[in-house]
Amino acid sequence: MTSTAPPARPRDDGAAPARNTTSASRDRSQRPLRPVLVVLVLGLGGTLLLGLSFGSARIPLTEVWGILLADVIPGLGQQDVSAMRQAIVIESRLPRVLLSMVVGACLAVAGAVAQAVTRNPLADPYLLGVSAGAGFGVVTVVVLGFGVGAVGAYTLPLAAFLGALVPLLLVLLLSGAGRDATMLILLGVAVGQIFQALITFALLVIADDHEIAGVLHWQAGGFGDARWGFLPAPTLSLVLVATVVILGARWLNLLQVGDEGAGALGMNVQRFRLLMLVAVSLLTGTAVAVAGGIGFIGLIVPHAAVFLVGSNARRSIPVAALVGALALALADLVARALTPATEFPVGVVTALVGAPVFVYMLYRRRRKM
Amino acid sequence: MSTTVGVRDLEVSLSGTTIVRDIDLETASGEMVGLVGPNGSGKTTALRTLYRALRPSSGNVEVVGRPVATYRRRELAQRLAVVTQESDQSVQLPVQEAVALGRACHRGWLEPLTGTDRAVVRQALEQVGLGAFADREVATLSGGERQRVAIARALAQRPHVLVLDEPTNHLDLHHQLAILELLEELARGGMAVLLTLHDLRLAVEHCDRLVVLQQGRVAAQGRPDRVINAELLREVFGVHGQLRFDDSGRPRLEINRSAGTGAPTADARRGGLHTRTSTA
Repeated sequence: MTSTAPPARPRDDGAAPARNTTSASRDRSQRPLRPVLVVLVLGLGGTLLLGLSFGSARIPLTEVWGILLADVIPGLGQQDVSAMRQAIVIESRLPRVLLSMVVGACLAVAGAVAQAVTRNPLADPYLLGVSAGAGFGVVTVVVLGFGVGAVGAYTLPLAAFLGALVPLLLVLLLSGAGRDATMLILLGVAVGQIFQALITFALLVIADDHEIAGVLHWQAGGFGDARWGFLPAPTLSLVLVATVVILGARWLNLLQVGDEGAGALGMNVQRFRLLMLVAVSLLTGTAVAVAGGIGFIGLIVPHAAVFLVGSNARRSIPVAALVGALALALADLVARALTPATEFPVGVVTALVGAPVFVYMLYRRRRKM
Repeated sequence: MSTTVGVRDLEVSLSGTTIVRDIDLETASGEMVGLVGPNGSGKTTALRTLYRALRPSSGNVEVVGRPVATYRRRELAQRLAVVTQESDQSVQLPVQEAVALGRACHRGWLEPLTGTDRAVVRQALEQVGLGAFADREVATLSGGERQRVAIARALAQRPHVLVLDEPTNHLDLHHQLAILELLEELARGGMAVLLTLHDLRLAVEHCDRLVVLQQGRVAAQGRPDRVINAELLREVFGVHGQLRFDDSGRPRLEINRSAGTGAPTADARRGGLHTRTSTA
């Protein structure tokens, strides 16, 4: 019958000349991963040292190095440092810098996963209303006075974390366990708005000035209250989720062909998305609990990672984690530098720097397409 | 030739409305079967039950001798591959990685790509004529090339059946023919190819068999030259035309003009299922 079919061959469609302009995007996804990771890790190391040296009391890098060494290996390093400076570095600045890095990584990974599972480039870690829920948890403690000081410095983080779970559960329940990605986003917006309204109501109607200041301070986000005790929860969730996500990167990639296509390729899309949403919420919940609602990192860093190494999740997720850590640690440094005496909200820095960077990346991408 | 897809008495209802009813459909290995019919006749709906994107309200859907519902997802993906309409619109991966996704159903949860997987991917790329494109980003390809990537991924699944939903959509004439010729070649190689096509002319010229759907039912099925005639064209597709044969005996569809108000519209469908049954 129709035996005239020639052997398949590449068919030129006249688009050939345009192809040369796309070499950059090809390079990106073929770029060796290791050098990128090495540069980022070196950057993190440098930022860590800077962060320890920098502050209201300037401590020279050599001294910082000596204090660190002495702390890790007793008997080594600088011995003649004042106990005060030692305390500043070890008890105040070190947990602060580390926490900013861990939280940055948490938010970046959460954002990358959220964008992948909803196939929406505007999704961020707060898409399920997690930050509004956490804020509501904080308001419950600060304004309504439930369980004030129950667990000391950990009362607010705990309240924030528990609060973050409420919208998650609501959204998952209402969306039938995340059957439809668009539905999820819309429900997240709606539920988030409800909690935001409750926060506003509590602040304007019930709270006094002192309480309002407390809640706003928490909402702006920051690492002024950082302490060692804040580190384990977000670190654990980061290690756990990052491991699962990087090992299961193939499934994130599969989602790129759409829910129906991924299902036909053998994937249980709904179960995977549910698992990933719980992971996102775990990351975001622990991050928000210790640092407040810091914006833009979770939205922009995933795009930056794709910009650096392409869209394969196996490559972009680890890079996103490192870029997120670096970005938030640097932002915190800037926040401290701007107003050394008081706390400049780090969320303001991420927004002011992040938004132009985002616009730049969008512009570059448009030109490449 | 063995039966690869067997559909019996299929009925699908979506939120209370019956979309398709009494569908019988079969494909054997080595043949290319076209599912045709006017807009809204239920082509895509029928197709989606094959890969469990839709659950039938009643009837049997079998793939390679087993009801689809009894397969684990991955087992089904090893037997039946799908190229959906949205397939590669938003994929942002290099071509070979996009095609390697088709190997997921052959790998354990944490198993990395093996040498075999890579070889299969390479072969699939060669089959669709994209061997030289392995490192290109899918997003930089033309529509026709993207469609080939989606087909290559389906081939990488090493399926018995290849199912495609309007694979020629949005393609220019040259690429429409190129895709259909590629599919014919795959069928000659022993695969069963089942596709929906809204362009009846292409379906007549390229498919071994046609299943004509009208308002959710099978209006006719069989070889194009036996199925397509002036009456069917008028009744089902709302056009005046006839089948002719060129010098080599290939059927050609000649469409003259629309048949005025006789066109089966969505309005007609709202009145419920047509009572007309098979004309073949």
